[in-house]
Amino acid sequence: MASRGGPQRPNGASQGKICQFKLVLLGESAVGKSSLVLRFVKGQFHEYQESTIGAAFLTQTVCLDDTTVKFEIWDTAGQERYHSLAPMYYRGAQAAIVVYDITNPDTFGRAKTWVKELQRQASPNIVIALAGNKADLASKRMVEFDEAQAYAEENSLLFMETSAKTAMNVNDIFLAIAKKLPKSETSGTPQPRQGVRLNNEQGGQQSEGGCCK
Amino acid sequence: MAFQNQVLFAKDSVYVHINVQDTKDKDAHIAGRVFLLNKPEGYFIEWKAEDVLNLETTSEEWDVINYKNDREGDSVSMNAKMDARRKYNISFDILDLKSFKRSAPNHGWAYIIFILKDGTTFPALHFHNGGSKALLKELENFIYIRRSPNDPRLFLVKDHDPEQLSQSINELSLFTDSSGAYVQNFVNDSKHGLSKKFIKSPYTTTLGGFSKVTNFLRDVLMTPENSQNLVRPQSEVAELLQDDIPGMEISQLDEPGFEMITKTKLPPRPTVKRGDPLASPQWNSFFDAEGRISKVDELKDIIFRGGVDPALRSEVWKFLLGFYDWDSCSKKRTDQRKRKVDEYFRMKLQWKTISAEQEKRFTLLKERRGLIDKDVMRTDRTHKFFAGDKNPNLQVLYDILMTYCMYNFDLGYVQGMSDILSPILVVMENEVDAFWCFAGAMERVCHNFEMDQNGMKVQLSQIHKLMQIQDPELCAYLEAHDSGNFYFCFRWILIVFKREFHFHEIQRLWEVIWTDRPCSNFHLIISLAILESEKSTLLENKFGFTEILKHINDISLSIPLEETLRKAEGIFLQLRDYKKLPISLKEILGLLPPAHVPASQSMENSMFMGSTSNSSSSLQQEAGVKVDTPTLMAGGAGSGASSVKGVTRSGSGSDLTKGTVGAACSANVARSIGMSARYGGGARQSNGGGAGGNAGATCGMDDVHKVFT
Repeated sequence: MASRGGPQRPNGASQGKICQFKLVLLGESAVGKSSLVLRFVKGQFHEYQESTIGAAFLTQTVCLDDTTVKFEIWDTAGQERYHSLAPMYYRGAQAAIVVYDITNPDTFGRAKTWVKELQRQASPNIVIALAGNKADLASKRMVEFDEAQAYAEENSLLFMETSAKTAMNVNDIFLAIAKKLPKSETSGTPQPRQGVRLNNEQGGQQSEGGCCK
Repeated sequence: MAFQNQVLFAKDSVYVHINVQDTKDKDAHIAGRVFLLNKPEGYFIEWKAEDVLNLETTSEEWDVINYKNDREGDSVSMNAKMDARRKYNISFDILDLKSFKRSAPNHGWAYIIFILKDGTTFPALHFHNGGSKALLKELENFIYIRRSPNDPRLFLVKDHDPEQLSQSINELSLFTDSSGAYVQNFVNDSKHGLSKKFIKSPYTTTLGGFSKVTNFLRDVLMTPENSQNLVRPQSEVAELLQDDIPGMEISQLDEPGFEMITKTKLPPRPTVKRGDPLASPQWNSFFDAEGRISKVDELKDIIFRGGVDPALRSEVWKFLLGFYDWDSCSKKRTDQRKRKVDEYFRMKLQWKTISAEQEKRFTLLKERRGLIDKDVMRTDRTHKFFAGDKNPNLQVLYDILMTYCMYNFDLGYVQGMSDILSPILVVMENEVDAFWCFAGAMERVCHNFEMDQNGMKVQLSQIHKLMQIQDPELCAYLEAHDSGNFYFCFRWILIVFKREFHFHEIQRLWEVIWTDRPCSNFHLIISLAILESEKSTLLENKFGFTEILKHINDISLSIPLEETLRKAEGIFLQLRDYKKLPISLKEILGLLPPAHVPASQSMENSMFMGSTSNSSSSLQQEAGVKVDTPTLMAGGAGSGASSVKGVTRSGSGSDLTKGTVGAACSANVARSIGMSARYGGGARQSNGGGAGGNAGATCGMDDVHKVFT
């Protein structure tokens, strides 16, 4: 765990409270669920990331002001055939990232289905984020940003377009979720980057850092 | 903050033995350097591949004192080789360390496997030039370490507790191999008043809750002790317990347990020897003058015991996977092969000739095409056979999977199938042979991929049932930690350990399993064997649901194959010889009457059609292809009938002999067979491509038309 995204426990002295959250990734096969996690947890990207069979479990810790947020991340298999296993993994989850591929409209449709299922079946207060992944493939875009954003607003979802390949918005979406999760006094504060030390993205996206609605 | 990472320890020539999925350079190692660092966030152990180090050294100022935080090294522009190496880099806070495993002393160079609290299990770090001891000694300045009494290779990190420091230091004296120095017999140790209390009234204590008992027992039993000294106290405890509770059998396994009290006592595990792989002269000696294999059972025994020489695999696997009948002579095999070539190209044409326009109204096929597309792109791309952009073998992989969709349209394509095909294609290096061998392999596992997941559920629960008898202690532990459904074994079973072993090992494992020896459910016993090897790690680290799953996922590619096979066979023999083995388990193990039937055949009876049995497989393929496919296509997408049902339906009865199949063939199908013979020849000669392929396609359209109307 925690090999690269790096921000670990505060160094001894002023250790604030520690929150632990279960987060599940859902979405059609090959939209980049495992790649998002791998980028977030290890700072890596593999062009030919193998398909996930069953489920994978990873952890990553981020520091939000004085709070240490530990994500327990469940990465699931995307194919419809394995749908019946999903409840086992989203049960009890406080957060979910529903991922689609911006170059494939079918995956956006599937993402909506997942959102519906989560709203119906998952914990009532679950924080859901929608991630339009593969944003680096803008020339092949088939799902418009505005369309997805409108959908996200209607359904009170966090929304970002991400790229596991370039690392764009990957840490940010996890961070936005961390901020939105119930922990009392953290919300509303503009997030100081150094407090989070999740800045391994390439430049030019600082403005999107505070995407938390 | 201008805090600089301080290097407390560094050692070169520390290697990770990587997953090179190729027999030829299976020993490839990545050289790197291991560090113990004092970082702003805490104390970290890190390992970095040499390439990465060099790059960072040149691009950033880097020396032993001024260690560069690696995060800024992240950039997409890094070249691929670098990226591939970097993925093995290790970095963790030592406060996250839960335990580690050290190699046995006689293992050549030493290695260490670090295991974190969340179950993360890193690949072994091999210290080719020594240094493991020095690193651990350095580490003991910061954390408390003790050796597991059950597994001399396993060391546990205790939670922060200053009082334990001296104990820990004593324990670490084990590293100096003067290990006999610190001995403690807890039964006689008056400091442990609790242990006496337990011994006096074990029953009450037990009723008080297993977890308390076990935690307590564990703490008591795990006080530093040399493993050879552990035997006596444990048996003493067992004796005392037995006195108090008449009739209760006490497990005297090596491990102190969560469930010390059990009712199973399996016979001792016999020693099992593995053999040499089947080699060419031996293989040739099995054939008689007509090219028929004379002693099939004997041959299968050899393959079970030692596998097959890689050079022979493409031939031998054709028998194991039902491409050829075991009792066939050379001439019959020539005919079989010819027919299979025709059949393959006939089915390939079915999907090849569906136009884009047509596919718009054929959603199911379009979806499957999409799934296959996605998975082919990411199947074993690190293996030489599939590496590189535009590798032509990817197209072959794709074509075979699409054709399989036509062959078994009810099942279609499900994620995981490309994993089953890939090693077979690498061995066969031929599209048609690989297809039929894949179809044979799928016959054995197709129930894994069915929509309701029932095949998977059944097998996972069978592992559970077997473990209840084989290792009640581990079983109780898993149940108590939400893992009684064994879903953490899902990947193992679904794709028959494909992701758990290196490429050359999975080929060996599969050929062993395909012999159906000692029973057709040997893969379940293999699961038990692996879990037994991980038992100490799971229990002593007190892993819960998530850590168990993570650890089991992470040990992939580090499971010793031959050792596991020996262990698994030993477990099978123990269960077989256990007099009180429940009938339900006998059934799973293929031990029920007709007991006089050799294990291999009874196995085939109980499971999935027996793709390796002689007559039924060729018959089924015949029926499946020529009768079933058109029926399914006409029946539409949602028919839901399995191919097995399809065959039965077409064959009009259970007495499925060649005669009835022939009778059941409609004129329609008969025409299609004729057709296939005509165009199939052309396609074969041209090997499916070029002008011959086009000619075939023309005929094929005609043929497809007839089949579908």
